[in-house]
This record gives sequence, structure tokens and C-alpha cells, in this order.
Amino acid sequence: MPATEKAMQYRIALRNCGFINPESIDDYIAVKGYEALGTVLENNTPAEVIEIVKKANLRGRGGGGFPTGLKWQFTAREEADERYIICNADEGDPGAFMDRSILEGDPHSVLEAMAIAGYAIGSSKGYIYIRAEYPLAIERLTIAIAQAKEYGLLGNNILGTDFSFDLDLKLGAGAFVCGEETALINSLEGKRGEPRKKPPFPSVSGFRGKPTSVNNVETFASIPAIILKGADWFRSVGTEGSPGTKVFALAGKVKNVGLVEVPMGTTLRQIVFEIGGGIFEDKAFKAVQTGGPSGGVITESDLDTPIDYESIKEIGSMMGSGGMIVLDEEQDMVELCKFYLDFTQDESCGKCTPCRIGTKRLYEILERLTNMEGSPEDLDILEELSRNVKCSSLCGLGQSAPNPILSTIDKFRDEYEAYAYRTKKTAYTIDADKCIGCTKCSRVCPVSCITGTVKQAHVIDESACIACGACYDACPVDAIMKP
Amino acid sequence: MAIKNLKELKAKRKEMENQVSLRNEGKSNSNTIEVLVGLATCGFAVGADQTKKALEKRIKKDNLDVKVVGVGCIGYCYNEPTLQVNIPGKNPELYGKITEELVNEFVDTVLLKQEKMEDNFIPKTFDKAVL
Repeated sequence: MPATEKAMQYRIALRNCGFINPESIDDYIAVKGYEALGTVLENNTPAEVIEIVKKANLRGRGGGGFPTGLKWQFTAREEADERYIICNADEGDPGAFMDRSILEGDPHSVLEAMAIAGYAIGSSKGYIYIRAEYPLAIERLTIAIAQAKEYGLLGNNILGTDFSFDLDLKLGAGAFVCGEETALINSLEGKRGEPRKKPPFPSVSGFRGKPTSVNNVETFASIPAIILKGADWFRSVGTEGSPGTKVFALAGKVKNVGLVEVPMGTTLRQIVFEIGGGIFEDKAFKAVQTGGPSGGVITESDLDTPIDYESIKEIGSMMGSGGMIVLDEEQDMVELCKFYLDFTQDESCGKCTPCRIGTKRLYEILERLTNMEGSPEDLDILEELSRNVKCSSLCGLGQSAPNPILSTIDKFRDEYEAYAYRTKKTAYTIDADKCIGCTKCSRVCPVSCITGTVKQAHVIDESACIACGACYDACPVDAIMKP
Repeated sequence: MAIKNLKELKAKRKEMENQVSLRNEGKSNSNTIEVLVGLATCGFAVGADQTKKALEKRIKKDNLDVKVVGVGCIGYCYNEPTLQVNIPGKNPELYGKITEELVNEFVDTVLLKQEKMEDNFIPKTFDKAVL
């Protein structure tokens, strides 16, 4: 099926999603499934496999962007009697569903890549750490593992070679922090899901104290393609510093909500307005939130920046795992931040003080502001505390939790000030010159705060208005003004 | 039954070439039509499994030469339930929002008359890596 001229999407990690039956290993074999594994086992030494991945410059798709080949090399070079491969499928960012879709649509590609990684680093045992809230992905992975074992593509002496690799699923109980690799390892060992001090990095001392490589689902899904099509091919897609593609979960106030995969270097404008079809109900664009609770917002002025790991940091956000939430003109940025901080203060594991108490205090300040009980000094405290939490927290959760605040206070300071100086209007008003007195607004008002007689201009009691917007939608002549 | 080596794996793949060419470009050595139904969490949320059931029921009732296959997320979440129709000799097409209620109209128009169902047609907007 030839794509239309407007096609900007190029699918590498999602190449088989929607194309094969995920519950049939034969369907996967039909699209050269497990041939990458077979090829490396037959033709390459483990060191050569690492070289291929290094040369492709595949970077961690979980958001960190660390070169996967290097991670494998660091894990492989340690003296050890066992090493481990872990797939991080603990996708927890609100609004993100990239990994879930890959695991539901093409589980075998992840299994195959894990076996390739096992061969490369000298590991015979892998674990997929997946959140229990993904029952369908778990079901399909379980089926896939059983099928691969039956075909001898997992287990002892894979494809008649002396390489053996076995895989198990481990279900996470739903803690956001367990997506952080050291907390994930703790959880896998049956301990509390709390992060560990780094160094030592997991590549030196990870699961059960052995060298361990933790890689993300999407990273793994790209591996078989790199092996079969070559590092040069992979580098021909994307940008110089960030080759390949990135999967984004496009959500929020955008017409074509969906799962998209674009070459690195695609601009946000292309993603939101061409692939995404623009803003829902043709409202005005305000910002895109990327990187979930660890990221920031990108505004109109940066829409034409080609997106890769470095450029997105420069414009004040981060790649993150791929959640992309589009915000329209109605979005209150302080409320948005409050949502994310509510999330992070709830998900903070409590091990280190800056994160445990810092995120809680940040949330309280935001709550104070939105309740119109704040003061201008709160903005200074907010910024200073944000910087302190960022630089003194133990793991990525705390180190990135203030990012939504720092990013929005930088770009939408006026909205913070409106709360801090308590000048924010919270009620709708009626333009008396435009009002035709049709009474539609007063009939829909849920708190009956609109008064007026027929064919006379109506008035909203601003102290009683709850800013629900029902009158705004009901008015036939655009006489109602937003707060 | 274990696959013993890479050669056997490739031989197994060769046996399934027809399925891949039908899904990619509508080339097939049989007349069997194939309908892929996106059955990931996004699809289930809007009743794609009901669509699949209704489709299978209709096919059985009229004894049609159509194979229905559940697949993963096709990527058009705003257009679920999404189907890919692979008619031998025609370019595969994508259709969206084919709910249980629309299944009969879909079968009559797209599969039997082989005409486009304009309101539900989705232009394809992606290319992919072919290994």
C-alpha cells in the first residue's frame, strides 16, 4: 500500500504493529522474524554485534538517550559468572502508550532483540519488567515466550548453536519510580522499589550484584532492523547525533490522536499540524508538553525546531519516553503543573529528602497559587526550591520533577503572576453591546448566576460564577467573554 | 517443534511469502480476501473485538472467502476500530470507525462491491522499514 504524498512517518520500531498477528510466531517469522538473531549467531562474534549497535548509534528510547551499544559494551567487559538483560516495560508517564502498543502489536521483536543483546553481552537470562496495568501486553508476551520456546528460539541451544537464553516476565505493582533502572532492579529482586546510588552503575553491579543492561522496549524493537539492514542504513534515517526514528504517543487537544513514528529531526509543527491534523475544534495552539512529569512545554516559537535528543533540551524540554500532549488556548499552565507535581509528589518513593519533601512543598505552593491564596514571593520560592530539588535528589524522578514548573514559569510567567498577584479573572462576563437578550445563557447556567430580562442585556454575577463555560458555548452571538 | 538452524527458519519464512505480499501490495496467489482488525488496547476500548465478531458472523452466514486476522495497533487511535482490507489484485486500504453496526455496510460496499466507503476511508500516512 503506497503511502500518500504527505507521509512523514517512517516506522522502524512499529514496523510490524498492525501488520502481523501478535499471537502468532509464524506471522512474525513471515516478516524475517528471528532472522536477525539467527544471523548474528551464525556470522558474528558478540563483540561484532556490539560494534554494529555502536556504529548505528542507537540511543536509549526510554528518554535518556544513552548509546545502547556503549551500555552493552560496559556490561560485557565486566568479569562475572552471569550477566542479565532487562527490558524496561514500566511505562508510567501519563499519556504515554508507545511501549504498550509495541508489546501488544509485536512482542516477538522485543524477545528476539533481548536474545541478541544476551548474546552480545554474554548473558543467558533476561527479564521483562512490565507494569501489571498492561494485562493485554502481558497476555501476548506470555503467549510469545511460550511459542518462542517451543520453536527453540528461546531456551537451550538456540537454532542449534551453543547459545542459550531464557526469559521471564516480572510484573510491577504500579510505582512510577520503578521505571528508574536501579529502582526497577530493586523491585525485581523483591525489595522496595527505591533507587540506588550511582555509581556503581547497573552495567557494573546490577541485578543480584551482577553486570546488567537495562534497555527500553522501543530500543529493543529497533535492534532486529539494525542487524538485518545494517548500521549505515539506520544512520541514514534521522539526524547526525540522533539516528533512527522515535515513536510518539500523540494525545491531548489534537485532531488525530494516535501513535506516530517519525525520523529524528522532524519538527513539532509537522507532527502536530500535518500528522496530527491540527488542534481539536480548530482552537488556537498553545504548547506541546513532552517528557511527561519530567519534561517541559514547547511553545509556538520553537515549533520549527527539528527534534532530537539535544535540540529538545535546548528549547527547554526533554525527549522523554515519547508522550506528547498537545495543549490548546484554554489550557491553564499553572493547573497543568499542579497536575504533574501532584503526580510526582505522590510517586516519590520517599528515600531521599529533597524529592520526598521538596515535591510535596512545590505542590503545596502551586495549590496555594491556584486557590488565589498565594503571594508574589511564592514565585521566587517556587523557582529556588525547584532548582534545589533538581540538583540534590537521588534519582531521575526528583531530578526532573521540577522541570514542568521551571519550563512553564519561564514561558508563561504572566499566568503565574496573575495567580500570585491575585489578578486572575475567574468569571465569565457579558459584552452588553453584543448581547441580544435571548436568555439562552441564563437557562444553561448550572449555578443560576446570570440575570436579565428578555431582549435586554444579561449580567453574570462574577462572585457566583464557577467558570464552567456553559454560557460561552450556548451564546449564539459571541457576547460572552472568557475570564 | 524446534527450528534447528537459520536455513530452516528462512525456509519457513518462504512458505509465508504470499501472506506478506498480500498485506504489503495486494499480490496473492489465491482469491481469499483478508481483513486485519486492530486489536490492541485502543481498539478494544471502542469495541474492535465486537467488530471482529460481527465480521466473522457475517462471513460465516454468507460463506464468504474472507479471512479475518486480529493485529496490533495500526496507529490511528482517533479512527478506531481500524481495519486494513487486503483484496488480491488491489492496493490494501485502511478504514476507520468501523463499529459493530457498520460491519454489514462495510462487507457489502468494500468486500462485495469492492467500492470505497468514503466516510470511513483513511489515507495511509506512513512508510515502514521492510527488512
